[in-house]
Amino acid sequence: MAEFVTVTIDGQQYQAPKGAVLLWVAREHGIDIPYFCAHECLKPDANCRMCLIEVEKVPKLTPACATYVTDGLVVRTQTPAVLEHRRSTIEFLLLNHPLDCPICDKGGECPLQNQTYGHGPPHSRFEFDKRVFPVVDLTPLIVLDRDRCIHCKICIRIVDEIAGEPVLDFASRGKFTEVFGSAATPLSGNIIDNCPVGALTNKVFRFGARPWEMSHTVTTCTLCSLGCQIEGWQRSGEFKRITAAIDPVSKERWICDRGRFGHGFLASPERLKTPLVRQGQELVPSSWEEALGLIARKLDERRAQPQEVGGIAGAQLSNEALYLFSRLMRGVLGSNNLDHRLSPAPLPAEADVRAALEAAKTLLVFGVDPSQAAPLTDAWIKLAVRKGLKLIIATPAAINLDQRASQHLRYRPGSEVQAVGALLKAMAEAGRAVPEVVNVAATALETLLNATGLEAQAVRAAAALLGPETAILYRGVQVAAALETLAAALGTPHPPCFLPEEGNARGAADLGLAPDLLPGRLPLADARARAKVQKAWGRLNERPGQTGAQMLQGGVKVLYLAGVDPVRYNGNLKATLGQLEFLIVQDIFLTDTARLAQVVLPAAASALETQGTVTSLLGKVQRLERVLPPPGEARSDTWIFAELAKRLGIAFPTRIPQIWSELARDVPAYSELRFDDLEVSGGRPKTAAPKLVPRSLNGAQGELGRFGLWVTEKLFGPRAVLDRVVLPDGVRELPQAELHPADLAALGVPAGGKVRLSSSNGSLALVAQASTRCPRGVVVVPAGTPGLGALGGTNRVSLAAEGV
Amino acid sequence: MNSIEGLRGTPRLRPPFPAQAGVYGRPTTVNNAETLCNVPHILKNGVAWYRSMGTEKSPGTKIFSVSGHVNRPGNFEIELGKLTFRELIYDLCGGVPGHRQVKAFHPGGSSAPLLSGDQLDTKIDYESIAAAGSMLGSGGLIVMDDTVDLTWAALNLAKFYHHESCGKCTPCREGSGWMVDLLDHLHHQRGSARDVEMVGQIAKNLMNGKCFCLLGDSLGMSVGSAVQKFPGDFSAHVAQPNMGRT
Repeated sequence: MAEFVTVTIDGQQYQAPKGAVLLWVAREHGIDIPYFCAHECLKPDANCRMCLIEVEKVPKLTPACATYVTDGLVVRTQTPAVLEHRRSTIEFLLLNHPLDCPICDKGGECPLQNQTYGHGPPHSRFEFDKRVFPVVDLTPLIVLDRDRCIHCKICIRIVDEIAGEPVLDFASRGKFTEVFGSAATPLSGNIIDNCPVGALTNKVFRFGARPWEMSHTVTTCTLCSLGCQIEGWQRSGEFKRITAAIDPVSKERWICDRGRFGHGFLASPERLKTPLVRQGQELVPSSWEEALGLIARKLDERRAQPQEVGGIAGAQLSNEALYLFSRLMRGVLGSNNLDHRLSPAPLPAEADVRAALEAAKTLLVFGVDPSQAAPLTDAWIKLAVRKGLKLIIATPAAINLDQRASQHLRYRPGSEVQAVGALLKAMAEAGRAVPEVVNVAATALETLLNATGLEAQAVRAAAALLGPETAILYRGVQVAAALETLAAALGTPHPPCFLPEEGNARGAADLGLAPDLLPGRLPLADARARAKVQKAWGRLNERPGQTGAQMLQGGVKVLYLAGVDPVRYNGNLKATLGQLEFLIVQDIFLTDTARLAQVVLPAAASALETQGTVTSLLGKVQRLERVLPPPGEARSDTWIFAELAKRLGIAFPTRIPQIWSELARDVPAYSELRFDDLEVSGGRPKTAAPKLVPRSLNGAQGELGRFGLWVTEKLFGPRAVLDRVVLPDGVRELPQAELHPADLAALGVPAGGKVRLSSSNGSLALVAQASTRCPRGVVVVPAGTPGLGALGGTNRVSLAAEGV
Repeated sequence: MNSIEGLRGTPRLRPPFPAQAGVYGRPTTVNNAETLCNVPHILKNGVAWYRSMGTEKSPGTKIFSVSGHVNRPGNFEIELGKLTFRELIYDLCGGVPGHRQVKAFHPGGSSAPLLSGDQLDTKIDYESIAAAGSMLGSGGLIVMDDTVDLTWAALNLAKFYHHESCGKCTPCREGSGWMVDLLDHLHHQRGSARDVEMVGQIAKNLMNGKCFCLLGDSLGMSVGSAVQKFPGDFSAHVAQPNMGRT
């Protein structure tokens, strides 16, 4: 607990923690000291001079933002000298500031405008020419108007102190000082929110609406799995923009650019607005009554053969939607054919990724580019490295964080398990304990090095950095068990953290949206857990169900897809899905999968159009709020599931808080969280200490092909929702195959030409892109590239020039 | 210190003071060469020897760099408290060219408030100069004779300070530019009496810790003192109602 001392402000005594910044103490007590350059999350800079006040025994005015509370401190904030100084500072700031508030995006929410009304002189005495700069793009997403800049340096400080990438600064001097450089980090957009004038504006939203015409609601972003709090803004039911919401405790207000610029899909003209029912070759608009009736009759027919019915729900859906879907499948239809994944993927750990990487001394990043997969981790890692975190990056190609790494492990795709094996082997050779099941004696280090393409020295150096305070971030299927074994060998308290693509993958796992799991991740095989669920839901099949991949391969006859688009992932699935007896697709767009369906249901987007909760990788359950209504007849997922259950004779809870209470009853970890308490900072589910089970590493070497394939996420990569966002040129990452220029030349692919990736399962042609970040023999493809599933999840492919 | 670290050359927020955490976060002392030059002599001859020169409050010697309207400009090391500015200018520097009168002088660098010719008998030590309303500062004595128009001199100074302003804090960044604009306007006979008044007000708004560092204060002090002491020089420039018009 901080020591509290007495400070006197304008004759009133207040208690404040010793060493606190006077400006914030005063503000907390409702005393208005105007400021521009101060920010709770940044070091004081005292450059704007707006917050100068009188401090007793100090002869000159003193900045409140750089005054720390001591016992007996006496300050005055309303003396004639202070008030006169405020007038003069505003006058100085406005000298070169264009008074174009009527056409400035910031007008109406502008600190400079507000402070001018509050403290400034009514007229300007400046009769000379103002400083003029051209308006430029600071980044493709941010417009910089240097005329409006008041040089508070907040953008520069955010890029350095928060994003951890000091690439922005001032150039020139005196009144010609200008913001110069780049803001190219995944967090760049935060400088827009925090600019106290309209110098930095959102290029997508610019001139879109005046602040007072819009309303905003705090909700949770689901474009990655970190669950950042965002403010969604709408005008007359039309989506306008996203800004970062302030965390009431830490005062943090940072979101990534995907969260800020990636929600435009809500306003896409491709949104589904009415239910569609198949009539011959055509899908024709229908009423909800007709569509739901049709589905209910079909599902009712199949109640006796539950193994022929299955469902996949995307992990961007809310916990409540996933819970009702699971109850519909299991409790009403009696089928365990239930999943949230189209292809095999690990489940996110019950951990707090941020706490783990900030507590760790060493971070192993394996097979994932965290800056792109969970963009805020980029900043957390960079700042942790500044404080001494040792970073080991194990990826097949270079990533942006490489320059912060203490050690690189550039393994060949397909040899992930061997790469982890090499680390364990190096540990054993250095005399460190390794679980017996690994059987390090079985393989020589040399063999593992040959399989992975790693160098002994790099592996030994990396192994030496690994210790009991190691955190692991990864993506990959086979490697999950190997990394768990490594974590067990290290004795670290942090389970390896899988970074999934979907926003609520952690929630989907906690709710047991998998064929062999029950709510609370309890195994279906557990009879006691089964009995409890059966009692609550009225029905439960004990036969394990099929995974998403099995269902898509024709394992069921009636398939319910909610918020997933398997045809986009793998075009070959068209044939199987087309032959299903009955396909129900519930989505926000008329996807290629939906075109095959018997009934298409228009859903509300879970992110901004429905209420509910999601669980993030920071181990928090947070609220989704309805910012704007869904388009047309679209309805929330929970409403649709409840209506179907009703038609099947089962009453589901319909209001979100009701659904939450039943969900919390069934998921032990959530049992103590109350819906109303989740509103501001979210709630933390109970988590037991992780049990890490070491397993033998028998990962077979991937199928042999000439090239290793690394599928890695990009900030604005191909993705169903992102594809439908309007973005400026140069922002979107196209589905391309990145290859070393020498490999491209060897394959005979001309500039801009295509290359065909083939595996034994199928093939895919992509535009080839020369990239020196790829070592020879490695091809990098963005996650979410349509048709990637055709390769069958392998990471060894053969390549050939296409169409030459 | 920022420049040594390869950063943009701007003043740092204190605390921490350089002696606690300076260059690369290490304790650092920043002194000019003149100060350091005293050290070996004091070490060699003792404190008593050093204190035997100068006055109680201004012990030792000080090097004055005399420039401007004197016959013999240069550096003069003098014992503090012994000479007056008149003696320094007329005896050591050989007087003013053409036997003109000293109109004004900056006793301690351009940032020290101007003293007028009738203050030449001020003793050269810290306390006497402070009592006269200026400061000893860097010891850069700038002498201006009666041919100098102080509007021009103030403009010249303002241009220098505007050029030197790093742009970090609001008053200095914006105020120094405005000052140049106003003085230039006046100098070219385009200003008004209100402009003269504004120069004085802006000077005040730059002073007494309102800027981040002392650069803005310096501009405020010297231009402010010029307007205060020689208002006639400025009002002479005020545009007449019919000037420049037909």
